[in-house]
Amino acid sequence: MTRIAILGAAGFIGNRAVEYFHDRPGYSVQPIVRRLSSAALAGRLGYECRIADAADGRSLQGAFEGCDIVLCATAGSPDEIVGAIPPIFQAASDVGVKKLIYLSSASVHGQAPLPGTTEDSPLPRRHQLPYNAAKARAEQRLHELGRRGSLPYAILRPGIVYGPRSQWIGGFADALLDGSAYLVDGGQGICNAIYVDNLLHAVERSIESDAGDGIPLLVGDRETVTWADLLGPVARALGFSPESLPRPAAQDILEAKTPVRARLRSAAAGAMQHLPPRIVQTIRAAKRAAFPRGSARPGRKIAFSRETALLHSCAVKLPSDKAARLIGYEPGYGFADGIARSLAWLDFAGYPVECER
Amino acid sequence: MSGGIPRVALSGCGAVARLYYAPALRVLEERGVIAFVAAFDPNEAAVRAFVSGRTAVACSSFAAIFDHAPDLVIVASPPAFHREQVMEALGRKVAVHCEKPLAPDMDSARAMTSAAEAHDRPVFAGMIRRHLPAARMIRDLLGAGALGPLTSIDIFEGGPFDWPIESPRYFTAGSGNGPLEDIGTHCLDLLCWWMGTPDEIAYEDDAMGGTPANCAIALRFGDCAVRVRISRDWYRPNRYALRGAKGWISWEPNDGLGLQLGYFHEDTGARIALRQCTEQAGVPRLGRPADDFMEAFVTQLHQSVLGLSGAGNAVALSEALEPIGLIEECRRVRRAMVQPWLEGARP
Repeated sequence: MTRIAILGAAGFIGNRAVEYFHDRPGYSVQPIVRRLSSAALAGRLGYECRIADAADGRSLQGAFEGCDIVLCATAGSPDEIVGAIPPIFQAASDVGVKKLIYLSSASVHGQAPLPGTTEDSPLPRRHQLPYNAAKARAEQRLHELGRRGSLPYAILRPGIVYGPRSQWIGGFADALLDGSAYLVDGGQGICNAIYVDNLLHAVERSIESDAGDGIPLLVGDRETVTWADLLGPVARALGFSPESLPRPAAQDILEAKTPVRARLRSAAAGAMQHLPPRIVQTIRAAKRAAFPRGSARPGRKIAFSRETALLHSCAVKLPSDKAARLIGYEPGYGFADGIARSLAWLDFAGYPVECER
Repeated sequence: MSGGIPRVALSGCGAVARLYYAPALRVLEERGVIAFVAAFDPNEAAVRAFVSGRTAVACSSFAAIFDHAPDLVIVASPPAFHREQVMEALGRKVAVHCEKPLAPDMDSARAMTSAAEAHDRPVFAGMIRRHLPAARMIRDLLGAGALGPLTSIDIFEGGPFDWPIESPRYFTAGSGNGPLEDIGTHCLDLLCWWMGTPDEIAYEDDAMGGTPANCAIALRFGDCAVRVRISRDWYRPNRYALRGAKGWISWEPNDGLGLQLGYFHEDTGARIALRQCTEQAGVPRLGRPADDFMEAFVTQLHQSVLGLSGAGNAVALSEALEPIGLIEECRRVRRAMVQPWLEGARP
């Protein structure tokens, strides 16, 4: 029996990983969350979560105890993404974990990578977004630690991970309902999508094969799809015509100067990360009370995001050949199936799904 | 009662006590309504922190709080302890204010009710929502037939779970800590308080060996179909949408002060902001805003204190049994919720 510790078990990918490995013969699961209250989803399956902070080596050691594999599916600020790598690596090494699987991101190649990009392409020297830079630095830290230590590790670079509880699905549905959804250039850019279960299949293959250890691997769905292919069905399911959504030009968004308000908002978001969780929860609750999701804010102007503009401008389908060759990655879910399952979740979650997708 | 001021003790210094009972006790003490005399929690640090800066004494056992001669014991301990603690307090001839969920099952609830009668001491139910001005207004509007015969009620409550729980065993199977027992108690209590006893009930949740994070309840009250969806998983706007033959009411349950009302034959509706009723020169008029949630919590506890002398409008345990029975029925008819993304997932 392989015991897999899932760090970040309350998040979108982490939670689905708990469900996925719960059902896999030969695996037992140890969900790890940052706070007890985050254990609600794993609690459905009867798991008692362990509590650990990804920046705290001691709590990680306790959480990894008795586990063979650590899957790192944590989220966080750029600083947290990079800062978590040494304590996770060290704690996993100290308690005798056999392999660390790190979920990196295809965004290390930039949101809109150059044609011909593969895992072997040099990463951009200057990233346009702090998240991308942080993921690249996290990979680099992992390689440095891996060279010095003896803990095998695998790095997966998924693109746009979608599925039940994904922000690409639920977040876009919220944006549609509050009137802030848009498709840059009509959503004609390529979306390097991967259904969450396909990513977890890649995780499983990384556990079972050593051939990809220490080598970053891009993983994605088989099909080449556009952003309109991903988001259009969400719009239609909620009764919106994708064609009627605002279609700003990527060029206009990217050339626009960042308004002072947006910069202030970004600074405020950064500051929130340093506040105690109770205060952050209070601020968020106050925001929710003032602007309940699903309610349009009168006179609100849609804030087009630079990140979305870059993502929607992608002209390249990233390959998964290397993952196929080295670890036997073979995505079992087709895009249509992944989307159908995602929309079925929207309905389950209480969205007003009203028509055939 | 010393000098006529009721003496109040509290059992259970967890999150609900810290967040709501602590400020309510402080307010009532400052108003000279009560004397808070003792508190107990098996977690010594928690009880010491709870009484810090107060005159109340930290007790090392539930029995020890009775050394301080309370007139009313607030039972805010985990639901599994409610029956035992309520019975002990009643046996010592002390009245009880019991936080919801009042009892884990009808047997316990009936035993508590019988003990209250046998010892001639009241047990008041901590059903805070019955004290929210908006919930009371909805009851009045429905009672007056303002919407005509009700045809449907759709309820969504919840969002990602962020209650500050303290034990990793909170979510283990059979803990009685699911969304049905938690928010579901409120929903079912309000529905029964507004409309009486349902004719039919169906229930499903997403537990797969543990405590559910999502549940759905379908009820029928005469011709009115009610759907309740509770989530600890994903946020959707929390709302009670009531539709009658003539019009509708929309209420956000965390807003004790406001609701929306519309009629199908009118193009415009009303956003109602509830305020205290007052009178000037014999003319009724509106005064300050009605009680918000915290003020309603204070009012609720105050009503229980007034109930010691037979006054006030506290909710008696015997008036709040229906949701306990319905929750028991939900467990009996429980079906697994379909989680379509898990169906036929590739092995």
